[in-house]
Amino acid sequence: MAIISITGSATVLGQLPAVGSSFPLALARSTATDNGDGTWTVTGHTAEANVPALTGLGCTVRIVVADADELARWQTIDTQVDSGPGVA
Amino acid sequence: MAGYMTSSVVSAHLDALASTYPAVCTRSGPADWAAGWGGARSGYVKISAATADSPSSRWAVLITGGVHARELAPPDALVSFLEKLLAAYTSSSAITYPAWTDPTAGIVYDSFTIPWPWVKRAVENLDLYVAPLVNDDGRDWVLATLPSGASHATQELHKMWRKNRRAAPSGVTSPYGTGVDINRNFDVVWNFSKYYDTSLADLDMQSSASPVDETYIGSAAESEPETKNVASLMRTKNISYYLDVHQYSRDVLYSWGIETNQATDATQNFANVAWDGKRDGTHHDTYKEYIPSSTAAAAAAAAQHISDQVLAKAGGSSPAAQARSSYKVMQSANLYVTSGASDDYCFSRWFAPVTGGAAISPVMAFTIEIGGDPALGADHDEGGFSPDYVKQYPKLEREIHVAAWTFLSMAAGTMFQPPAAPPSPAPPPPASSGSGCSQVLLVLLLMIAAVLTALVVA
Repeated sequence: MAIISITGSATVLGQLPAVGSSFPLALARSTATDNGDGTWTVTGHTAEANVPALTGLGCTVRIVVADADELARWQTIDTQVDSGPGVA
Repeated sequence: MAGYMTSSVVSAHLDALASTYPAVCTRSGPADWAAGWGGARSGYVKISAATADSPSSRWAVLITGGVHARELAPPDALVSFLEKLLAAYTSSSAITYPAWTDPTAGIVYDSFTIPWPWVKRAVENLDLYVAPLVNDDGRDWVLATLPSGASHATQELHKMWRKNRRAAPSGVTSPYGTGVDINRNFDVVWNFSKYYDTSLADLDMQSSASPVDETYIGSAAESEPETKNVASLMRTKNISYYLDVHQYSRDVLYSWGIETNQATDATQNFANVAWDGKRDGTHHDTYKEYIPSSTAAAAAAAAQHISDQVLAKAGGSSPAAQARSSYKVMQSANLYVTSGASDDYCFSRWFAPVTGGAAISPVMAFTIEIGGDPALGADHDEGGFSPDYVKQYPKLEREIHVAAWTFLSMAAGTMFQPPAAPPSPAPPPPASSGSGCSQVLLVLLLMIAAVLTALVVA
């Protein structure tokens, strides 16, 4: 699942939660930023294969971390978890 | 190498704290904290000591983490925070956090110290409740060991899980139909379609009535055991200071999240049914949420103080470190409009007390979004929701600790204000109402607390 940056009007971005019903899209809502030109940008997580569906809504999408890189990062976390709890 | 704690490990750590420090740390029981739909329950601890130095009345303070399952750092950091707090209190000592070097970027984050008076006041001046992991089932779903060869789709389903694990409604077959967003399930404008003009295309409401959405509000306010746990704690313990730790984007947020703030028209408030269906979000100005200006100023100042302390302590002296430890301060709704969030629910209780109509103490509620947004560049990439436990988590842990310490220091340094008439939002209070005086007093007390904090640091 890639990390992506999604830019679009508030109207377009307002449709995004519903997109999750057709494919996985996790939004980091706290990253929402008003660009001051009528558009907003928010960071999200979805497979690169879903990017065309997002651009089809009128969004501009930039891939921040590719599928493969993000998967590798997660597998590191997964290994750490499987190795036992933290020393907190 | 080690990694994040599952709910049972969090629970075991809290058990150990209560057994190691029985004089000051007590553990929640089954009657205080219900298990999730999947059966997991880590609960909370209460930390409090009565000494000759303790005030006769004290604030009840709550810190929560792990509301959203995929946000991995806060629960671990809150457990380690509790361990440091109790060890330091028992030994009557300050806490020195060693310097930490980011092994990837080579950036050094300086050592810093939490002074003994902060530790002492947090334990002796407050009734502190900490629930490090609210969404136990969700956390365990994220951290579940998957069968070898699990598909990417399955891995993603687990890794990105946000909601709890309530079974999907009848007829919903998508795996994304499971669960409710706990932070949309609290009883403050929960049923957003009733409160807002949902015909507005740019309402920017980040809540959903669809079970497959990750911001699904649930079938009723407080329908979820996790929500009830937190809300009940707020009500039964009369929580006056609340900090909810989330991840990510380096923000410190203060109320309201339901609408843009305004201080002139008290009739524009969440409880006024005359505005139902007419609330218009942050892109329109017909409706804005009432908050007394002094209250808003106090909340903004407190949030700024948390941000300043994270920068000063966890950020240290290196410009590179400071660039990665800068937290923006803003009103929650400036990000987007939310309904049913825990911080707004806690704050709303001051305006519309639900404790049988009894007056409650003034309330301040904050959310901190820990960690950077990877989309903003290398200085912000701290693993998103899932930081590397060795290479990234330690920095976030320091920041969560400083935020918690600052939050507690402010609360403990603020003279207890007994329950008084809340700032009734409707009808409009007279210009020189008693409640206005109490708000000014709250601002002054917070400012005094900030000055005292600065003096202690100096």
